[in-house]
Amino acid sequence: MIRSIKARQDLLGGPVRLASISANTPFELVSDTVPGEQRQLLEAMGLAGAPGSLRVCRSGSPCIVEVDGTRLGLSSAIARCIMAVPLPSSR
Amino acid sequence: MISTSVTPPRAVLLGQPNTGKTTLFNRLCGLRSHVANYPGITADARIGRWQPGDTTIELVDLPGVYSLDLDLPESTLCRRFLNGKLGEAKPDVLLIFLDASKLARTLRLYAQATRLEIPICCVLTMADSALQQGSSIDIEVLEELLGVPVVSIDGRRRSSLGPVSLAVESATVPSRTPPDDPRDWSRATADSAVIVTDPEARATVTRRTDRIDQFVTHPLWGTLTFLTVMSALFLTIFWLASWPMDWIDALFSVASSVIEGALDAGPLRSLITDGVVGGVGSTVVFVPQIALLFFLLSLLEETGYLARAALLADRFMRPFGLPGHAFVPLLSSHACAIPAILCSRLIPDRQDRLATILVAPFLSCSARLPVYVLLISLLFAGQPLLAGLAFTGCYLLGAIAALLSSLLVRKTILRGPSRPFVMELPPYQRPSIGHALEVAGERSWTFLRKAGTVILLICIALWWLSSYPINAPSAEVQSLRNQVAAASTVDEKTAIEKRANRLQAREQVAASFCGRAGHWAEPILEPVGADWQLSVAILSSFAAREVFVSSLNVVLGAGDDSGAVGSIARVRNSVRDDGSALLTPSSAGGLLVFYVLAMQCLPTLAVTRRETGGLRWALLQLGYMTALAWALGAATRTLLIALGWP
Repeated sequence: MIRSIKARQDLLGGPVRLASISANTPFELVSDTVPGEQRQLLEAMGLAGAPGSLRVCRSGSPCIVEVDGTRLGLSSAIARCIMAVPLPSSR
Repeated sequence: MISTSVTPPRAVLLGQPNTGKTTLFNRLCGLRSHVANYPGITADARIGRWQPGDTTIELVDLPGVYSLDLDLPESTLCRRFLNGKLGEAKPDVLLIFLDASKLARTLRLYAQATRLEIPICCVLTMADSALQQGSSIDIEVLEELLGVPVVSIDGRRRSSLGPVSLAVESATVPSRTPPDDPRDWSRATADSAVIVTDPEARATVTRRTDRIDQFVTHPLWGTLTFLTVMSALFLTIFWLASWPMDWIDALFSVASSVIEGALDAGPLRSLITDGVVGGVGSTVVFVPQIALLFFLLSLLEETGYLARAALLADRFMRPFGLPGHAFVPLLSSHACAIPAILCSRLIPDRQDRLATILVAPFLSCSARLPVYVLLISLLFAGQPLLAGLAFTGCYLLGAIAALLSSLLVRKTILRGPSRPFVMELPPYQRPSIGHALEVAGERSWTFLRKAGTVILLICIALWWLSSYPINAPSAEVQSLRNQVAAASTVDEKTAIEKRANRLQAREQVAASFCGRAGHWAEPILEPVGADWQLSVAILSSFAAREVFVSSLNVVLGAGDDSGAVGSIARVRNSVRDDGSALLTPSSAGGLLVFYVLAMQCLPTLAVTRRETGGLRWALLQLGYMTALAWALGAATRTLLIALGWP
């Protein structure tokens, strides 16, 4: 999985912060820098941990993303800690 | 599956947040439920009784969780409760809530629950949302894949009760256990069970939701929408609630008069009319505002807007150490701090929750209004514009004090990182008036039960403190009584009798335990502008701030001819023992600021103690708010005197 992400990053460019992704673009989560305790909740909500696809519905602050058919509102502080790469279809 | 032992079988409701769990719980148990706290865990569960047919089932509504494995209070509670590690046996049946509009996501919690080896039945909710998005769930396929019964319901409708009862009866331990990492399994299961009925519908709903979200969370338009919605909410509450409040007030006045007519004058009549009827009336009069607030909040919540408003509010509140989740509790605080503190259970982080509870009573509640009306009328008599601005200023001062105090506590006693603000945003939908009415009814009843009983006891205690020890009438009162007998006309008799009654009431209060306390407190409260008479009113309104006006009238000898206009005029014309005016502009200003900020509400303190799990937070709240109120009240009075307002 990590190799495939790396390959995609080489192909599409490096990961970008969720906070700076423009709206309506499908992305895939790659990493995050959220502190341990707080990370658990995000992981359970599908916003951290294993790679997964998401769509940014509203960029900036506040940030709204759609993960697994659920809309999540994030503070900009969290959106800055989550890194994602664009999915090939979005290029 | 349900055993027929002596103790009723226990069924537990488990699900992710916003899956309709509590809605069904309320539908099944009505108001017959209580909150269960467990030592060492800062989350709680609700326990109620459900009677499907001849059976009685104990239902437990656990807090909504995304996973059982998290290190958060709500997950810990669910995990330990389901494993029977809270001093109670493992549940007999588990009702797991699955959201039809996001099946894959909610199936992950189901996968974790299958490891508990408890009979399970699944409750599928939000089928209408799924249909709106062009999909439905094949229940038979889902049952086959999970190996447990699945029932599709709308928790807001009474017709859901029958199918739930049948599903509980046929609950079973799943024969198939999903893998430890259930993500792929849940997606595959959802893909098999979901029937796409209208492929375009989802895209249409998504586009529409995107457009609305862009607008309502826009820095400018979103903020303007937010301010408009909140202003409309408050105007509606204060406008519509004023009628039932007046009716309730009139009803209690009639009840009081009837009792006065039926009983002879004496301590029993005084206890019932002043203590019991007065005490109950002073609480019940706020129920219309509370019911209306929660009715409108429930409607707003169901539309999906309130979650967006909290998201928007997070931006403004976060710099002060408060999360967006605190927005709804703080909003509720404008009606009453008690439901606001109860509402703060929705805030997932304990530090955030404590900060919200500590500062919520700063926001101006309905009970402060009579005090504001009295003091502002004295300050700006015949100047409606200035009076209106002063009212707004009081609300603003409370809000600023709440925000700055939150900042202070988060930098000192509640230091540490806040939980990240991540909030699930429900789909936009049409609200259910019936459900909103139920929510309003439940919250009003909770308010009446929790606050009404405490206020009633306090009012009885205050009545006793201001009535005893009984003081013998002075020579002046005796002389007036003698003049009544000698008076020639009925009008003259009535006027002299009223004067005698007023004087005797004033003497009684002065000599009572309350009056003595007023004299004792006078040096402490003098900097905010209070003499002993105002001190009595302040002390007696410690239990409930709205008591200030009625207490002041009793102290000033209102007798039986009180009325809103009369009260203000009486206070304006009253004098201190040295002959100076009782309330000068500077003392009215000092007292106004004092009442905006002071923690003059014992029931709120009781609820703070209960919700924070300890007396120290309640004492801190009392000490901090009182000290701040005193300091700023005294500063305001000093400033007004320096500006030439005596």
